[in-house]
Amino acid sequence: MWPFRKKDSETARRKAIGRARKLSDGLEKRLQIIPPEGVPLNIRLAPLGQRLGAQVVDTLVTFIGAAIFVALFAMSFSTSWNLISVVAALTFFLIRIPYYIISELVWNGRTLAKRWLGLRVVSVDGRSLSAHQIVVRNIMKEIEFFLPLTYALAGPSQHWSFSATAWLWLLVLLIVPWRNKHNKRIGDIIANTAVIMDPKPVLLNDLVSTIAMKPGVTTDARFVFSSGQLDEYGRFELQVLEKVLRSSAKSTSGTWAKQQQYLKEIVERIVQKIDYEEQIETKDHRLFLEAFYSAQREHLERRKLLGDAREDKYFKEEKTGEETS
Amino acid sequence: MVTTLADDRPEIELMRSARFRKDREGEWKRLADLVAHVEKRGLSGLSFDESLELTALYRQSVNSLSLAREISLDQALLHYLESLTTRAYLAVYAPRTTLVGLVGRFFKTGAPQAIRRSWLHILVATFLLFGGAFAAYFLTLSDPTWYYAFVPGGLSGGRGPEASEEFLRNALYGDNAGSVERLAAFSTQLFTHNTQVSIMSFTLGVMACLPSGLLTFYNGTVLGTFFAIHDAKGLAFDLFGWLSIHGVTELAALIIAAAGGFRLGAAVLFPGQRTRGAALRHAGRDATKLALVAALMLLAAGLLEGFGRQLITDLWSRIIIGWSIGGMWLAWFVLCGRKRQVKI
Repeated sequence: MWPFRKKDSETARRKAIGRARKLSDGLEKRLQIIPPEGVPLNIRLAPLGQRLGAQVVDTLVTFIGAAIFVALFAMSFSTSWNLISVVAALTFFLIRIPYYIISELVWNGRTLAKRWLGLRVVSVDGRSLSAHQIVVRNIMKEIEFFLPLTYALAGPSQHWSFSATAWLWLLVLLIVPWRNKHNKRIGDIIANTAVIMDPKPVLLNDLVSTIAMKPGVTTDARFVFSSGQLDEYGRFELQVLEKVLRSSAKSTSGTWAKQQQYLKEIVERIVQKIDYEEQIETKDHRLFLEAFYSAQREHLERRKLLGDAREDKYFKEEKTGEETS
Repeated sequence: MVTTLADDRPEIELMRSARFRKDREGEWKRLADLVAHVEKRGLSGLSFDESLELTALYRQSVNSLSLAREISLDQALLHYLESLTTRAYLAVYAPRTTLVGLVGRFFKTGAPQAIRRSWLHILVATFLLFGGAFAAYFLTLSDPTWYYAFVPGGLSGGRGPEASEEFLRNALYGDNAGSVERLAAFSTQLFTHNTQVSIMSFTLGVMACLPSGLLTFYNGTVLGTFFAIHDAKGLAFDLFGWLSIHGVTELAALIIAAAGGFRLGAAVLFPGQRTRGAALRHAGRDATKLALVAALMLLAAGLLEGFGRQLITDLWSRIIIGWSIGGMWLAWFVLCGRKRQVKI
């Protein structure tokens, strides 16, 4: 019998872990940095689309900068087109390379486009971004990206194998960050850097304190749950409930009926699962969920402090699985 | 606003994680303000007391985060603390170097020390370049058709074995590029050619040194075969002068770029106690500096070539200018950034 049971608990566990991961990570790649203080930070990495966008904007910025300079040059010296094109190529080259290095150094890992799009370069090793890292990743950008691009776009003046190689080169360069665990391009790998989304700290209300302030929840002890009733769910379900409560609290009147229906379904599921005997009126659905959330959170947090962290509602099966194996 | 409400009401027994948050919320908000301030104005925008406060509050928020992960299941709170701590971490551990300091350090100590540490690789690159030059020189002297095997069509500008002495002399001393336009265009063209060669020999060094070595050797052969055809017409010394004014700088740049490539290749081949990735990163510190020095020298060579070579046509002044500039590079590499000897 037990191989079947084991398999069942195994699939259940996998399912639960998959779901939990979806919830906590939101399907995004994350980077773990351990600062010198020793507490790991999980930071959202910048998606490749955003990075490409930032690169395009930065290229435009440097191009416009070079164009202004060349226009001034042409106006003040008014020479032939031949010379102007030479000066333009040189200026673009000489503005581009320092631009990335200086801006990332001065603005702590952000070029202008990265500032606008909320991206930032960080050092993966948990120390401050060093000048060496900034220089390396930006010089490699020159070799990785701009050099093959000029070959690829140089047109018919060269042998076809040159442009073919250049296109292949560019293709490989696109594949590297796409396949990389941390979206690193080759320059990032060599410099040991990564590009993250600048995290935005937003402090939401503490649900428990808000609920505790409401008259008639804790004071009346209207809904009371036994510890057996609180032994059904784990962290994952609690945090889903947290999300529901937060989003329904700020819903507008237009979706009111829909929200009520949603809450009703959840209440029914919970009541069934924990064998709650009392009948709950429609107007009390939200109150019930809030009370349940408070009680469940307090219970789970206490269990966790005692060394019994419950990841999700399959925690019992996991335990039996561990014992049998 | 929750906390203000709480002050009005009789104290309610809160659960541990809610109490935890209530006690520290003020500190977190103060830290968020400070971080926002730093991100707008920079660390120098803070007063002394404020910057002390920033680091203290940052450490407290790290502490809060690690505690919250143990005692709280409030996801919104965990996300907030994680974001706040990350922002504070980035503000506290920002790059410390200023731009002027960075450039100064590069010129004073970084670059010359990196060059001195890479002496063996530079020596190897030099041998390869001149080995190629000697081989091609003797080959072309014995059979002039070797010239076509070594020199790409675009570079020679009609100067082949069949060219007359008159033509060669004209190319060396002639005032053929009178207008500023041709000068600039020519300089840019050659400048980019050599830049590309340097970039290639630097980056290809990662592939176990071999491509860089071949490229350096090949560049030597072009040089050698050029000398051979001029020597056949008795113009070797004149070519030497013509090349000296920018070539000393330019060939040195090629050698240094190749040496940078060799550093990377050597790290891949002989990583020692490190992993290959770590060895590559370590060698990359010096190799990048070599690449930057090479880029700088190529820029100088481009300027010398664009203006010096066509404007200064006297043989001896060409030689003197070219080699004294070369001597200046050498002095920079050898003398700068030495630690003072401490006498005991």
